[in-house]
Amino acid sequence: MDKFEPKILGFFCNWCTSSAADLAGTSRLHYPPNVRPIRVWCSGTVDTSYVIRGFLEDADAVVVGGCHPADCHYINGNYKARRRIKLLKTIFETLGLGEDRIYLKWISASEGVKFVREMTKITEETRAKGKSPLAGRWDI
Amino acid sequence: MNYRVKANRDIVGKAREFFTDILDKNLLDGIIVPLELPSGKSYFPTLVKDKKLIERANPFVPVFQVSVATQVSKMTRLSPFEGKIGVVMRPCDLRNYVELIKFNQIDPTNLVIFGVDCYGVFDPNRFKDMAISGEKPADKFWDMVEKDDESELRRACRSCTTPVPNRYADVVLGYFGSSGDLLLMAQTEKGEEILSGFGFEEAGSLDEREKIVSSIKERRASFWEKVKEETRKETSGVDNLLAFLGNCIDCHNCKDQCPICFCKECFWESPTFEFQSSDYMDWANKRGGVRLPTDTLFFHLGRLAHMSSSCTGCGLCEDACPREIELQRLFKMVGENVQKAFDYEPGRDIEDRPPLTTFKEEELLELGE
Amino acid sequence: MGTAVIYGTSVAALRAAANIGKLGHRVYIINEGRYLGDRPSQLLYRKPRTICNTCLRFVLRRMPHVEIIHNASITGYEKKNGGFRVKVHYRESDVNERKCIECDRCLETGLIRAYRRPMGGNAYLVDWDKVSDPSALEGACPTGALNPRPAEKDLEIDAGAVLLSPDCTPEDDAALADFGYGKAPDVVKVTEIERWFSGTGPELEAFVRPSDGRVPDKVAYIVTPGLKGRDLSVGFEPFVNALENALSVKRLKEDIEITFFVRDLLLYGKGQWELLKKGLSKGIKIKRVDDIDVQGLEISWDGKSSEFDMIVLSPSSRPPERNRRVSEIFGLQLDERGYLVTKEDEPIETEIPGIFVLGEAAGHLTYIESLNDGAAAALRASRFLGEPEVKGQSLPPLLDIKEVDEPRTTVHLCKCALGDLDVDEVVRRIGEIDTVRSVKVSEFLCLEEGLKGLRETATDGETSRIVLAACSPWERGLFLQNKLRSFGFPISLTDIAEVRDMGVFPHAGEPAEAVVEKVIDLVKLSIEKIKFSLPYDQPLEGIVRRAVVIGNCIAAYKAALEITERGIEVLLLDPSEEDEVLASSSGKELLKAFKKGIGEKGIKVYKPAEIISVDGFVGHYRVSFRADGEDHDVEVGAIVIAGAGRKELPSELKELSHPGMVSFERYDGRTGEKGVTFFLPGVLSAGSRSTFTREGIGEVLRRATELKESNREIPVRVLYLDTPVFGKYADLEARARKAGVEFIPYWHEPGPSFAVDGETIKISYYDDRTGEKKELVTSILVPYPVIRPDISVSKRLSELLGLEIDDDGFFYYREDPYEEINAKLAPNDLGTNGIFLTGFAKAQKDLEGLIVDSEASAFEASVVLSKEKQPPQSGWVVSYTDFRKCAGCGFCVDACTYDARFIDPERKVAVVREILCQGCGACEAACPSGAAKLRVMNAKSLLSVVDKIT
Repeated sequence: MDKFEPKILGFFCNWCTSSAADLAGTSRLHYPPNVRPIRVWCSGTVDTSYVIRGFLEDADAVVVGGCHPADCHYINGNYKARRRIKLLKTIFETLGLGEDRIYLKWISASEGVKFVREMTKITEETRAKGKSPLAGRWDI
Repeated sequence: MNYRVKANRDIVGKAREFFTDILDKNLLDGIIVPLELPSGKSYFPTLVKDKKLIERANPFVPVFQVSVATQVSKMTRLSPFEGKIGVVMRPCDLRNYVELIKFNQIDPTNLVIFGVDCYGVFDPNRFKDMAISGEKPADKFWDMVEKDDESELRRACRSCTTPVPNRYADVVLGYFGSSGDLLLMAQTEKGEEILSGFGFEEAGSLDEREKIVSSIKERRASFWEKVKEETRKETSGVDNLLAFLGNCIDCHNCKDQCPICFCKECFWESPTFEFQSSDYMDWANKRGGVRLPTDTLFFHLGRLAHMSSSCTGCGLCEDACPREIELQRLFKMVGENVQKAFDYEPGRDIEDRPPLTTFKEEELLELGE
Repeated sequence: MGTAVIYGTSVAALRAAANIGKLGHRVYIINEGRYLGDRPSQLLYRKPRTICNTCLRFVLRRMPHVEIIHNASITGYEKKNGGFRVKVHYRESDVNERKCIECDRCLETGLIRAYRRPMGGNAYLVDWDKVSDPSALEGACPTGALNPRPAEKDLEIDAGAVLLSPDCTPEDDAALADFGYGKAPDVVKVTEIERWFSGTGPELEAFVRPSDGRVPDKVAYIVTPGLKGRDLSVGFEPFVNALENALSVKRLKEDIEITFFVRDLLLYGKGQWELLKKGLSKGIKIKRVDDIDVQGLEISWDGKSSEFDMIVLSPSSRPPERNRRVSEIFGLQLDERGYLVTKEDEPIETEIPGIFVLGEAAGHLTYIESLNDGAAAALRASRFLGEPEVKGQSLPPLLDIKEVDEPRTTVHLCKCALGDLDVDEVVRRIGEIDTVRSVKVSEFLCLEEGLKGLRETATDGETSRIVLAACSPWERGLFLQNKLRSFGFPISLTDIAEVRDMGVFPHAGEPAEAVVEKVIDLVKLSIEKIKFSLPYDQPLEGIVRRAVVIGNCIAAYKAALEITERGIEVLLLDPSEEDEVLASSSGKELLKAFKKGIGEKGIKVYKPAEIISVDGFVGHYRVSFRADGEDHDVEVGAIVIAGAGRKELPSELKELSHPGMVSFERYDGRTGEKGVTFFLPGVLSAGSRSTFTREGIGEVLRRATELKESNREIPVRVLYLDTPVFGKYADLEARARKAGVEFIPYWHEPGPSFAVDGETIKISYYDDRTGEKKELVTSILVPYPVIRPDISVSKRLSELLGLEIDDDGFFYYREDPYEEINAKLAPNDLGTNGIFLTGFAKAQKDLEGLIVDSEASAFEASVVLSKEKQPPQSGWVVSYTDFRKCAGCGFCVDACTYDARFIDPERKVAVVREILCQGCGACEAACPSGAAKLRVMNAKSLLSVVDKIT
């Protein structure tokens, strides 16, 4: 019986979170391979439609990773991202689509360990929750 | 200053006189006001220059075919009017108007806004049927107002807690608690300029009006709470949501009619959504099959993400839907929750920035850590 | 003599190396350690979470003319041929850092160890104890980076300039035993806590006590400088570090009780008073003490004592151990503390022209000042280096790609990236991906054989997209993309699939199918990402090689001089008729010298100049101003704002009128029965500390000491809020105390109040040490003036330039200066606008810091202007507008942090000013219709990426 392996889609900012992912790699730290990392310039670049599309394309969780507040490489992209994620979570919560599957994480370039910890946690949490209700629907 | 025009229940008649006089005196170069179509089936906003056409006008007509705010944005986005133009709008549309100004879609230069009290409107098809069968919906409307019987009006209207225009109306034409008279209330200097030359009698106490408006608001607020909760249950979870939207044919009428959706080309109609046959097969392979047309749920969720923060619940989306999906209550429900999350009220203040165009450094601290 | 030798790998040294290298000069870095990151550096030691890789990566990866010699020491030097001959002894590195691609193959021999560099990546060293026969190492490294027989060598370098910057020495752990360190497990250091949260430290989920894993309720912070006989003057960074750390602990758990034990308040920079107030508002208690005693977790002070759950120490560092050696070799003096002595009033320079001392070798510096030292040192050193040897590469024009909108992808797969995975399987599956025409495999893509293959693909006339399935952009990826560009292939049609660092390295031990799935998805990601891209090259625009400096202060004059030195025309606009405000008399001579220099160089100075308007963008500003009754219009490429200052009485004294109050400048030494009280200004009415008065404090201390020594019977007092001990003034303070001057600290809430009391002045203040309201009576009150920015000037400039100022009149900017290393790496905030700050526009600094800062700003301005043509800051990723779709709503304009977009009032559409665009994509995310687009990685590509890999 195939164990359910969640698909985690990640939008990671180029300067902070992606660098942390690189650091995790070069430091040979370990995290589960369920995460599909997409390198974007800034967490503020992540359009709401990318996140929605992720769920409609069978992602079981979507993570947006960016720099800590006040540390954004583009000054304030992360603040914009934060509002966008709040908007999406509110919509998903109102419609019962699983707002807890949308994650926003501040992970800076030197936090390879935090990256690994968060990815592992998210994978485990999502594995326990099971498939996203939107995943695999042919009728959407 | 508030004025009263004795009307003996011919409120529409007095309003027509008022507009005719305005054109006569050249106080305005034109007025956008609902005019009855020659066929009699409905009323549409018309930019009127010739005062003779005012005979067909009814600013209070209980039908709302298109958003006047949208029409004004089409006319003024690229350049403002050179002459002074009056615009008659109902309260929900006035809020849409304020939002469109924030989006740089309307240039309000030289516009004089005539807000009207609005007890509600009929579903436009119903209105047409009533008109054809001789039932005279525009007249029946006044009986309904008198008896305070809104049962035949749209659900969107029965949920609406803004039956009177906000402060962005220069002049308000009112009838709540007017004892059959036409109330003309100036809310701005511009409005006062228009009204002062007429020698109207002062309105006196408007307590009755306030009382009636309060009671309407209260009733509708609790009605909406019920509807909202029912809607929430009905659409909660993917299965329910898809059942609710199930009949959708992806025609995008809702988006076309929505005053807030101002985009020249909708994202969901752009080349981004031009796919190849191989893409469709990929989807079919992945999921066993794929409903056609694709991406209907994506369209609705995405449209919510784009416009829910400014949704005024006007209901034009639902009116336009050929499959009669009750979009108004879905969108108003989501809209309210989103607006609450950002402490934003569409139409409240022109200086309010739409939530996604701004941010605070210290907010939403629970997100991200 | 175009070579610079830099001794040390401190923060200042690396910055200087990167800057000098960028100018095109050869550099040798002499590192005593075994690899870069081996020696403790100031940043690593004191702020490990803040560490940024940029200078280091830049030096390592992008500048082959910056040579780093490890295991090296300077054995001697002599003056020769107008320069210096530096003698170096070194042992060859086990592993050549430049050739090493971190493939880990050498680890299989069991004879190599990998050391994690704190700033990312690994350094590899041979475990010589295990090596009985060096031939076991031969052939272990595929790139030839491993040296099986490193030899001891001697080298003589002819250099035009020598920069000495040995690293600071951390405080001995053993020496901290008197604070309980090493005796109780719950006594820790700030840096250890920082590492709990940092990526290079041990994994800890929460802030807990090491002994039992329990979250502490009561935590004490001890800032050790000044206590138990330690030098107070090196306590500034430890104090602020501890404060920042305590605040982040508070963020974790609001109700942890935190108490600070400090000798005095040690704040040194902009925004730190705000930081302190924030801490106080969150309940952090600050206890100023003369000394403390620590027994286990119990702290006693002033007859009181208290038990804590955890104690956090914030120690400083000691002067570099190597300073003694350096002083011997170069004949430089050491001061009593062990720091190398630099020229009086000329920071960084020594008595020997061409030899510089930077960073912590010369004195306690905060890391920001160290970074500034590095930039300023580069500037000064470059004067001794002549013409740069290394010229930039010129790029060939782009190849014309046949039917470029038809994606025909070639994937280059690097075996090194795949580790143990089945290469054939991966190749087969990549071949099945849509648009892939061919898959080519190399052992090492970044070596000659791989590069040859890349050139063939780039020029084959068929391929219209290239995906490199390799390590990661930071590793070799960017290098490979640039190589493709040098073959004429547009970078925007290439992408790096991060197979190694994101796909293979972190998933060791996972089932192979899952890892292969991920690898394939990573390749698919890259293929999809560039499917819809357009071939785009860096657009170049001409710039105006002229700068304008606006200011009425010493920094303005210095900056103008420095820019002229770099061969760029400059004019100085002084908005005020008045004399420049100086913090102390020591600046007077310098200012005179600068003004003379300006006269000699013929730099036009307009004073007063009324600035009417500033339009344009970096490289093309138009400044209109009125001076001498005439209107002027000038085009400049960059603007340096130095601001103007004001001198005024401390706000506490504005209401006081009394013959006994004499401002310091006019103080003539009069005394009275009730003594003389010098009042050092505290909190300004706007709530920020003005430390321009640092200079003045030296003068006050001297005066107070003289006064006391000649008037033994009368009280002489210094009333102060935060410590009057700054670096070199530490001795003055000690002398003053010894002479009998009373130092009275007061607390800002409630602040001191002054009242007339007959012939004397009564001062009421709150003594935070004893917790009592106190009063003192003085015959003479001598306040030192507050020096602050002239807000009216700041306001005017802020309106003209659209920049924000804070309540004190300083412009907002990020404290950490970044460089424009390559267009995408790290833009300097305001620097990308071609606007640079210094002096009164930037932050409070003492005279030395001010000079160094104005040089650093001038340097950065001149770099922007030194090229004839300038690519847009973001290189090839720039946004544009699809005018057909644009409704002119302005969401993108709101979203753009860099003001790179505006709505054309005629056409009502959004227009992009490319030279300001950073390519961040905020506009694209804000635009609902997709009219605002990035040229690369736009919505269409990202959505199809999501489709393909989820």
